[in-house]
Order: sequence, then structure tokens, then C-alpha cells
Amino acid sequence: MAELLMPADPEVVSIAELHAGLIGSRFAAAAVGTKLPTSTPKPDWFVRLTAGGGVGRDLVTDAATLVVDGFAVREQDARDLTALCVAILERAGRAGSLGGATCYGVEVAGLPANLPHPTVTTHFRFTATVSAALRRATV
Amino acid sequence: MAANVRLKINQAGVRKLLQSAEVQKDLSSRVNRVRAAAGAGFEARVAVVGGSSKLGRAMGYVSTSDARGRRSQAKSPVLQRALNAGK
Repeated sequence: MAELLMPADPEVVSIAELHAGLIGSRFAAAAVGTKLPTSTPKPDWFVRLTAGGGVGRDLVTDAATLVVDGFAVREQDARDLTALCVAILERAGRAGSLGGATCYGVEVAGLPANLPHPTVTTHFRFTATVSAALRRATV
Repeated sequence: MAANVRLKINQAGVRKLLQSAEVQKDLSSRVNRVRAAAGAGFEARVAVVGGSSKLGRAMGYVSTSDARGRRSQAKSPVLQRALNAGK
């Protein structure tokens, strides 16, 4: 029987990559996850990363769409945090490994855009979209 | 096997194809699928507009059409998620 080829979990590997990549930067304390923090007040900096689907590139590779939302109390910080996340993901693409998953490249589909969140009025939000070519794994 | 094959692109023909009704129909089908996947508050349109060449080609768009759509897109990446429907 033909083997199963499971798509990588783009959220899990990208969040792992961002956690590691933010260390050493001024945003090292930023929380990274798939949901908005529920604490009140929310942290000064945080990142929401969500998978937006994507397409299969070939038998063993998928091009996963990832949306990065960088939130910060200061507008410039929100932009810089989002841009840093994009840079970290792109670097992982060039290095060939994204959070432990084999990655054949990360392309930027949308650079950070200033898009305030309607319910998080205490923070500025910049959003960016990238596409990561991730290799599937055998089960 | 033929040697020294030379290709000459029919630029006017390519331009005509890029603006043709068939291409517009295909684009329309795709953007309507994306709009349907995005849900209420979004609209789709196809138009022949000047791109980088300034000569014009058929292009498809999906965008928010009302406050509900704008709020929906602002809260979560609805259009990015719906993009696959146009494949």
C-alpha cells in the first residue's frame, strides 16, 4: 500500500520558529500563538499567527499560507514586530528548516500592513501574509 | 530535428487573449468562488485594466462590500483563507 504523506502543521512549526527567533531581539518577551491573549490588560507586544490554507505544490510539498498579526501598544513597534516575524520566517526558508520541518522557501505575499483590529482597541496591529513551502512527512 | 528554431511572439495576439471574453469568464468564475467562500459582505468583479504594461489585461478582484465585510476581514484573514477556492 502506498505510504501516507501528512502535511506539516504550519502553525506549530512557525510558532516554534518565531519563539526561537525572537529571543535576543527587543521583542523577546512577545507572546506568540494562534489566539489573542485573554488577559487584561493584554501584553505590550504579542503575535497571532494563523494558517490560511494554501495549496499542494507537488506530491511531497505544500505551499501553506500564514497570516502574521503583530500587535503592540506603540504603532512603530507593531510594524517592527511584524516585519521581524516575516524576516525570521524568510530566514528559516533560506536555511531549509522551519521549526524543525523541512522548508523549501518562504515567500512574502503581503508585507506588513497597518490594519487596526476592531476589538483590540488598546493596540496597533500590522498584518503580513507569507507562503511557506513545507515538506510532508511519512506517517 | 529542426535546428535554429526561431520564435516570434504575436504580441497583439497575446494582448487580445489576455483581454478576451474567455479569460474574463474564467476569472469571473474564480473570483465568484472566492467571494462565496468568503461569505456575506464581500463582492467580486472582473475588469480590463492596465497593469505593469499599461496596455490592459483582464483582472479579477474580491473585496469587502459593506461594513460587515470590512469588520469580518479586519478581525480575521477571511479573504486569505478564501483564496484557495479560486484555484
